[in-house]
Amino acid sequence: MGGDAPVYAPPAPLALVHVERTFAAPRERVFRAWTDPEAVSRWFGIEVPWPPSVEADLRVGGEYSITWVAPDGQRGGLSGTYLEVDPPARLVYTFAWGGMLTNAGGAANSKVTVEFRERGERTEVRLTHELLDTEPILAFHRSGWDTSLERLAKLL
Amino acid sequence: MVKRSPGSLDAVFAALSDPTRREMVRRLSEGGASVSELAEPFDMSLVAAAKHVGVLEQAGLVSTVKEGRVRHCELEQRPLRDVVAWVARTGRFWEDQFDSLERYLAETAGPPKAER
Repeated sequence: MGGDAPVYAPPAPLALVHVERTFAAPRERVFRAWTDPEAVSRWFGIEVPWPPSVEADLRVGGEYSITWVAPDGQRGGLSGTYLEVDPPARLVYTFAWGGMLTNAGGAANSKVTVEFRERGERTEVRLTHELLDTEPILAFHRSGWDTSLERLAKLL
Repeated sequence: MVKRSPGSLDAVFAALSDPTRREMVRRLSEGGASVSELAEPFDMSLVAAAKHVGVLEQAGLVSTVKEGRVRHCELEQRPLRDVVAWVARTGRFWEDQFDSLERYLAETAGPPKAER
């Protein structure tokens, strides 16, 4: 690899939200509810009477999208890229609203970290949602996945 | 990157540690309101609502103006307002998602295990 390697530093959050809750279900079920597209379409999202279409490529660098289509044909929803995938314990992914829902989340792109911890037959879910600067996230997406991945895994 | 002094952001997050105040901030992110309008969704006296508004005002999140007998509230400082609005909306968003996940897990639990 020749030339100067691009430098990437994880962006410091502008703000973060942290929520925790324990669910009465084993960890495998909760993790699957979070990652299986058919399951996700049945519980996740905004208050609309029709389910979203969900796609998820559950691997580092893979993308997911959760899309609602209104009766008038307008589309909007969530999408992002998986940064860490460690089933059934941990997920880290970028999170951005788009289409007709671009203003639903306000400001910039953000990053979600979800941890699933076994508590007997129950599961404790700990979620941190960080609001990030827009620019580093865009640079991250532009940098490409091939050679950056290994370096990124060490930085994160 | 938004520049900020650590002290003021601490006051902001302390003010936002209360769910009622987060909801008030979320409401104000949609436009100004009187204290009684902010109190409306809660089963709360005007005095109690005014106390919450006072905490938000102390943290520099909200500015208020008395017009006759009505105290009118506005969310302060555009850049911080966006961040604060995000925090308020996102906190509420995830609480709602967890509620929905709870219902989904209960509905799809299947038959209870047989007693041994």
